[in-house]
Amino acid sequence: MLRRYFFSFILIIFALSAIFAGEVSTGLELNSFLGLSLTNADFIYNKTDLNLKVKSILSEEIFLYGCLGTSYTGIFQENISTKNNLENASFFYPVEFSVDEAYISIKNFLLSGLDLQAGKQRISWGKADKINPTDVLNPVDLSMITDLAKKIPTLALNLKYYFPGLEDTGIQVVAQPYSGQSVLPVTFVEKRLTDKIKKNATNVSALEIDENWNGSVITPAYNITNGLIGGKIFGKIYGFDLSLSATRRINDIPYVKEIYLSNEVTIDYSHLDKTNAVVKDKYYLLDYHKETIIGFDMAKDWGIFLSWIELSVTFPDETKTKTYTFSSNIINNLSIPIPVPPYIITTNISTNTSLTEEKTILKDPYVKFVAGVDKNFDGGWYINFQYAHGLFMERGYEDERLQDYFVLNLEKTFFDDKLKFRLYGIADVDNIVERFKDSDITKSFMDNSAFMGAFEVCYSPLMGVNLKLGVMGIDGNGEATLAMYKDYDMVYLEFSTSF
Amino acid sequence: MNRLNLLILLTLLWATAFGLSGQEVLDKVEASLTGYSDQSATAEVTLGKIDGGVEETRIMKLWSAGKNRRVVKFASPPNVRDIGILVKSSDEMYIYLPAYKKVRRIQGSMKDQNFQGTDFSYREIGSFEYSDNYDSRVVKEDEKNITLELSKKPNSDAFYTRIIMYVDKENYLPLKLEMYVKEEARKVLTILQREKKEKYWILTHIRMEDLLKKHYTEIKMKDVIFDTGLEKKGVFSERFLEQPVK
Repeated sequence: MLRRYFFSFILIIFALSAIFAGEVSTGLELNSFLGLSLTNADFIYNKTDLNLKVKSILSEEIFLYGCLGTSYTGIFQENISTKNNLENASFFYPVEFSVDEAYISIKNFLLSGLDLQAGKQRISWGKADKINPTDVLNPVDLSMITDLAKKIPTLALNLKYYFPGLEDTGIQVVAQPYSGQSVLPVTFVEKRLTDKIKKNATNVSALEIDENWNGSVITPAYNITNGLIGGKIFGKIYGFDLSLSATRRINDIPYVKEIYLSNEVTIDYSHLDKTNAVVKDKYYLLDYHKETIIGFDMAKDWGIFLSWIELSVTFPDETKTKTYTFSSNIINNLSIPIPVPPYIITTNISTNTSLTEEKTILKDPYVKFVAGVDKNFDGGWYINFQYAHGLFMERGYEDERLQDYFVLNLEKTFFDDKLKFRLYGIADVDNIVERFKDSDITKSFMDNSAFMGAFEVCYSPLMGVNLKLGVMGIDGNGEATLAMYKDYDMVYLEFSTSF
Repeated sequence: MNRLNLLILLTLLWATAFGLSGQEVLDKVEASLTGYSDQSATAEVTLGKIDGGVEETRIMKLWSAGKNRRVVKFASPPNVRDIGILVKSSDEMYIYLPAYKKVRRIQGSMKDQNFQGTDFSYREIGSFEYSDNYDSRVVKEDEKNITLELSKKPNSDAFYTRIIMYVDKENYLPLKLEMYVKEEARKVLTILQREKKEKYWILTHIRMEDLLKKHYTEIKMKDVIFDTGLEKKGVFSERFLEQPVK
């Protein structure tokens, strides 16, 4: 069925172009990525994307753009459920089709200086490099660790008005009928919940819990009340590129609305140090919440380097998490002291308890920001350094608190820019201010930080043709966000081009 | 003969005896190439190795006005289509990468780096402007040509310390430029063909050789149009940079 839609769409694009007698340009974009785990030699990624890009320029001021994607994800299905699957090619070689982007762009729409872009599109905000706290109009796609800045185009009406007589100064209004949801590895939610239970399990000498959870998600009602509206004013003052924005939307990353835990607790009164708890069943319910985001960004070339600052203040709607805990308590060797004469009655009993806790997790505003510089040097050197407080998935409350990131990107090109060495590193510190307050600062940093380092060799025999070989290592402790990616140590090979 | 006439006579005698100064020749060269208020053109770009064959051919669109205002966009091949740069002034440059749907400011020092794999730097592509950064003197003159030596001004951020420019005396058009960093020859720009269109001269076929990399880039200009009011049309803006190449 999807294939039929896909090819129908292509035909429609070409037919429309022919009708309007516009100039049609097409291109195929190919990207292949293979990631091999360094710890167990499993394939972490085996992905090939082939995108067809079609552009039809109908006039000087109107053009159509469409990008149709096919994606092959060659992760081997471990469990063959039926023998019939052996005859099913899509079981072993699953391919997805998608309409990545499809929009019409009209310059000087209705009045001079007003540009309209309508359709499924990527709208990119923010002047920082890839870490953009104000870039909130499209949901994030966190499926590839090598590209955590990837966003998913969404249906939008995008109007930009340029003030007459002022170069590149104007206002932009974006309306989306429905806020998009992110694509993310849900195991991170489960890992975080599991870690939290482990951390909060006090008065228990042994806790049995695995990381497999049952879960479900409430997607926002599919109506206009769950849309997005955003506005931005942008311009230039004294060599500074500036913009100020405001957006009302549904946060694209779900929060944990409810948690259900079923425990079995065994208490031995003769050996209180051997209280044992087993988490038998675990279930969570995810939901999305609304928020208002005020953003500001600025960039300036100082001659010797380029710098940027980008920040967002988020005002979340009040959001709560409920935890339901059911415990079956097995109490052994219960001692009942009788004053005279002293003796002990030994008995084993069972009881059940239930506990419901409700906690407000989001209410107060929080600030994310990034500041960075970059510079090109003679001889093909390039350096880019950024400090960020808060990444995409962090939300400014206890479990998803904003962390501190130091990001370094160092590049050197050789042989007429055909060969590039790239060293990329991120240091994630879980609350840098708190770390300095600890008595043993070094230990505090080591226990609450994560590091990601990657080294890449990129060969580009022709412009736009890239072959990349890289190795990536991640390690960390405590609740540093990056530590959740610890299993992603890998060596990877990427090929990309378009023709 | 009053004093003014005497002064004019002396000036003429000096000019006849010693010819034009280096700065005057350079001014004439720049005037002959930038006399128009604006220019737009399509360029066929060929990349190759000096001692080898052609590696790649691209189509670029160029728009320029004055000494610094420029927009350059790639029209083909598909892997670079719609990539563009906007130069608003000597220290204000932007790049548009369609893959990111974003105009991004780029650092000024990038202007001396190669423009998207060509042998022209960002500063050189679509521009012919030297007098702001160089002092000029005549080192040789014969019946047909003048040879200028351009020396980098003390406060200039220009990349080359010295440029030898060969100029055709007939129309004050450059024939060849040899560019040096200290005493090392880095690049040679050769004008292979020039053409007078309307009232302006244009360099229709030029070749830049990078002597260290042994690599060349040739640009053939076509569909050149002058004085169409590009500034008023808002061509030198981020808004225009984001528009796809027709």
